[in-house]
Amino acid sequence: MEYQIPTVLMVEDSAPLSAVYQAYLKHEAVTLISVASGAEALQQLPLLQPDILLLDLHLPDMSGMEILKHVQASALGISTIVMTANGSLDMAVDAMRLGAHDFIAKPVDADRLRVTLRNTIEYRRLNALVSRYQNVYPRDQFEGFVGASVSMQEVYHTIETAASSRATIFITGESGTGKEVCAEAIHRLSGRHNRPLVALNCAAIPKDLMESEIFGHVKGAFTGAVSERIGAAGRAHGSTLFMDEVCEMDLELQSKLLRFLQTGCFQKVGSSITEQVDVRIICATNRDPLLEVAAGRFREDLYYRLHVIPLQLPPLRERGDDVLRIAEVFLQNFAREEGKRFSRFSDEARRALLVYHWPGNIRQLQNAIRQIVVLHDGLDVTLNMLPALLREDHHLPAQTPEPMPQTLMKATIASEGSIRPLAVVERDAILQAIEACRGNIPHASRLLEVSPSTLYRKLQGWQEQGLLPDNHK
Amino acid sequence: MQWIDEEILAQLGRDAGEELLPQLVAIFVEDGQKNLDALVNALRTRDAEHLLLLAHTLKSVCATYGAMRCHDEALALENGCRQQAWTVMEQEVANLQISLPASCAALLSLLPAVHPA
Repeated sequence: MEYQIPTVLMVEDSAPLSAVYQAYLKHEAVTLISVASGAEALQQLPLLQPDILLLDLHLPDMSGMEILKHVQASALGISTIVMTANGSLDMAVDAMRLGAHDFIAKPVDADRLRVTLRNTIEYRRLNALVSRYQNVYPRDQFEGFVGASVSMQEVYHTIETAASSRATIFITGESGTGKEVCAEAIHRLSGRHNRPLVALNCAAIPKDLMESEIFGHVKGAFTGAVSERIGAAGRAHGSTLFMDEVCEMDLELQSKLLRFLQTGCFQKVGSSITEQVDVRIICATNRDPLLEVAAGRFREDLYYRLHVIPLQLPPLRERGDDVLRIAEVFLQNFAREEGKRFSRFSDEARRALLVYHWPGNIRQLQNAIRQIVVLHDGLDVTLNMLPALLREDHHLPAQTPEPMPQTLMKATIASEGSIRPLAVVERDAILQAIEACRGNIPHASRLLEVSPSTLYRKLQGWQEQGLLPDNHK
Repeated sequence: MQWIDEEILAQLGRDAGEELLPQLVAIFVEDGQKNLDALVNALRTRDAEHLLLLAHTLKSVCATYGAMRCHDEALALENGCRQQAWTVMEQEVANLQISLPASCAALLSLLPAVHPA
């Protein structure tokens, strides 16, 4: 592999010190570039993309801490060595907490500077080596994920590299691809893992309550607000706020969220007091956010504020053998839970799992395996134990659904006796729509104008209550 | 107390390279005059925050070049700034107005000794 000479950007406002440090490092195998102010440093960082930042914490135009925060938030992968006077070691400790790689006390000892720089270069070299080995020998499990496909290796790598940053991560992917698992993994690997992740499903909360859910409310803010409540933003102070289904958010609230993201400040509903919090945002959607922007349902400025580090989770049908790996893990777990003997899939069952297109992704696979384990027993899972949908060849692209049954097109209530509970009518309408779309839930959800996750949640709930007919299990 | 600690200056020569020492000293001398002007100006405008930053930087620079008397005065000035002790600040800036040019002159005079032509 070709070795590249590391680039070091030195930020030191004093010309005599800058000249001395450059002289100390003149024989080191680095490209050293020196700037004298924080503003110059911020300008040069994206242009030079240095490997190492040698940063004086006392600068004339801004604190070196601000530059350090910028470097960390931007996830530029730069190793920062801070330089600070002996009497300011508290600042050095703060800098290390903010993600600095090392620090050197002033007056800088030439040997210490050279050794620290060499150690940092070596640390980076080893880190890169580990990453390469991880790419050569793909991982089949990672922080709650199961899968060794190439597309998942990229996901693991993005999670690992972005976790330590404060930058906002925008996860996209179909329902059931593991967006929540992804958010949890990022939080767990971040410096914020000591505080719990706060998760908010924007699709599951009524529009009128959403603002209060995010920002909280004061007593008497609205009917039913009998006491003060801390919202998700307040609870996530010092931690991570995961906003799932963010594209479902009402436009008016989107502008408030934008303001919150820009300033870190918010007001509880009914309060005039502004509160400031330190929150890392992860958001997710199963929609195409750019299409939502184009359709005017999602603010463009909010999109760009959130879309700092995009993370696309691949659908299960594009993950090759991962479906078998995941199915085996589910089989082992559920068999243990249910006290069954299952340990493997027959060859036919494996083939059926591989060819099915899994519109509901891992959540659908999980339900299918759970169903198999609950309803059957044996050592092998055989083809006839698989749910009906999987046994047929459903490896078809999205098809034009057959015409809707008349009962769906027109409500027919001939007499008082034919009136059925609304919940039953809704269930029938959804099941018939899914049937008409040949089991393609995302397609059915589009026609029903609800999100796929709503359908999956309803199906899961009906299954748990024993309300699903056999052909939908 | 001497203006320059010759051992520190000699160590700087060994660490940075003897051939670079005249160039480094020239930068120190040029920057010293600018620093002095900035110190006087900050004192005149009663800008304690800027005075603190200048004193802090000057302290590190002087320690690196062996100008230990200036270092001690810059340290005293830095502490005076932190305590908002204007009498101390005025006194230390006055001291530096003498010691900094003297240290620069001493450095230049020492160059042939540490770096024979």
